[in-house]
Amino acid sequence: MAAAAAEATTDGGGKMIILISADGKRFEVTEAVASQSQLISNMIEDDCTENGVRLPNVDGDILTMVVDYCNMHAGDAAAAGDTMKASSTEEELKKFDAELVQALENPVLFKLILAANFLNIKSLLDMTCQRVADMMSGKTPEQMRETFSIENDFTPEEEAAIRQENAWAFDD
Amino acid sequence: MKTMTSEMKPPPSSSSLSSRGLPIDVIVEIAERSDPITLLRCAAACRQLRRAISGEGLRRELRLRNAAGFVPVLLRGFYYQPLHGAHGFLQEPVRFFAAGAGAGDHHGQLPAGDDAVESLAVGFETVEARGGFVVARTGSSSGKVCNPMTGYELPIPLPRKDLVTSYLLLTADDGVGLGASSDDDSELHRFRLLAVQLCQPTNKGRRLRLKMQALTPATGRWGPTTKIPVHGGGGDRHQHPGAELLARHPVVVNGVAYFLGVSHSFDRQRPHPPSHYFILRVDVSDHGGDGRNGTTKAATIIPAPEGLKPPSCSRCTSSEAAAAVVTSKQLLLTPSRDRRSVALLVCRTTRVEIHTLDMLATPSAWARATEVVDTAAVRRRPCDLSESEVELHWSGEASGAVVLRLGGTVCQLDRATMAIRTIDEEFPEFRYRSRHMLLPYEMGLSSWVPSISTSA
Repeated sequence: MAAAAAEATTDGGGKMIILISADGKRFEVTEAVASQSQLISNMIEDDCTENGVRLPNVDGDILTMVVDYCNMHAGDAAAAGDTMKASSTEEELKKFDAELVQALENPVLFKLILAANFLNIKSLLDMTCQRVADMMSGKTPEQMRETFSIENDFTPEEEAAIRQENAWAFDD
Repeated sequence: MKTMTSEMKPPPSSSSLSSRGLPIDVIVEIAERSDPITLLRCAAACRQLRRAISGEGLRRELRLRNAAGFVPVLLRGFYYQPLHGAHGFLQEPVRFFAAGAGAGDHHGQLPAGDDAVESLAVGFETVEARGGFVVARTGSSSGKVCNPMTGYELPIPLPRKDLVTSYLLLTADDGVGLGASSDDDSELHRFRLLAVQLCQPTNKGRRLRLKMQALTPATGRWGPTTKIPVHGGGGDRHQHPGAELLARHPVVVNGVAYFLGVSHSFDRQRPHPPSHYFILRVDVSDHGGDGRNGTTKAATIIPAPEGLKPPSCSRCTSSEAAAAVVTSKQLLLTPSRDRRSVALLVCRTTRVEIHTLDMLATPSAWARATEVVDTAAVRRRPCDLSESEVELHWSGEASGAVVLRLGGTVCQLDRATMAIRTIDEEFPEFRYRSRHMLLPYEMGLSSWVPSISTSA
């Protein structure tokens, strides 16, 4: 494990690994880029990325976005020494992030959240969850059920009691 | 270390859901990042979500954000106490009126409401209130910090009342560093209290300086004084020796505090820069765990918008200048509508001007003011209302509510809808004629614990 870490730092994270999506698309990324996923980072430590990493529940189009995101953000940690570069790209990163989630329709956004959750990429999960939280603002419980495909399992009496408990949050 | 194969099995929670759905734990992640209303509505969607959101784990992790704009319901109500006697000796207990609940008392709207009202009842003199916390003076050199939403209370030493010290409360809602917390100092009760003074240079040619002292909640003691140089945004004339901070509530936006100040000119003989209002901007985001503030930062003075003359200017006696005079009571700082910058509210006889500071411009510039006209007041009374009867009382940083007095009428400006309405029909007690303490109370998001029952 120590040897692997040393290797990564000496050649600037240049060692490549292959990610394979559910529909068989292959993505070649550096270890440094892939390590933003806690899941893959653990696999790298355990030396089990030799023959590529199969991700059977992430589609190719979603994995494209995830890889784009990771490539874009790989500079975060690597460029820490180069302060000029880091400060100039911060704005660009924000813009990139905003554009990534802004245009997405719910089903795609949800798939991206699931991928971020599964791969355990905290910053991507943060950003995508925040985006959905923003979209939920002002929605009624019924609209939330629709969005999240949740079935209402409260009786009308229970629902009335729930509204009563925090009535101020339910003034429509 | 656990072994992994390169073939990953999908977690069971997501495989059992339709392609549209998200696992409950992810929906909870989303709810945690929403505002209080959205969280409570989410908890009303189904049993499983309600159980998860009412769970203890969530309460510890709860990191509600302020919604992008203002959230009017965060204004929970008004603390009110009539004052009697020549020195305002307090004879009647503090009462709490819930906002939007109509006339009469409405206790029990705050989780710790009644106890908190009790705890505030003696010598209620508000020093500062922000983010759900209230700092009140209880004696000539003592005070307390309390949070009526959580029942938190901490007695603190408070320097003798003077006209030059401003206090600033920072809470977890501000997203600034609050320093190290001791073990029993729960996340819910974390705050920072700063005492701020603007100091005149003792020697000619030296700069104004800002003296800051921070209270360490763990010990209940004031830390060492930090001195910060002040730079004049508009050139040297702002280094005028008459500069002082006004006793108006400061505002915090993105870890930067803004204070309202005035620079007086008393010199009748020589030509002098006219008296003017200014905004003092100081970064308060950094905080070492040892009670000291970052020493490298400078404070900046930004001139207030043109055309706002303090009453003190000895040379400005023309009728034109007299027309431009506004008192400090007519001014109040508030976050801008997008909550990224600061705005200055100016209350005129029947209207409120909102001047927004454009931070991106160098030097910072004031955007053209938006105006809200109190149409009801125009209808209600003839235009003989003097500006001396006009006062901006309070501005809610999270709710966007502004409480103001137009003559004898207590009004509320709702910045989400940009409408002014009178509230003293709803709360006749608030009318100007009687002397009283009126503290609008905005709940803090970080210290808020939702009451969600799962018995259903």
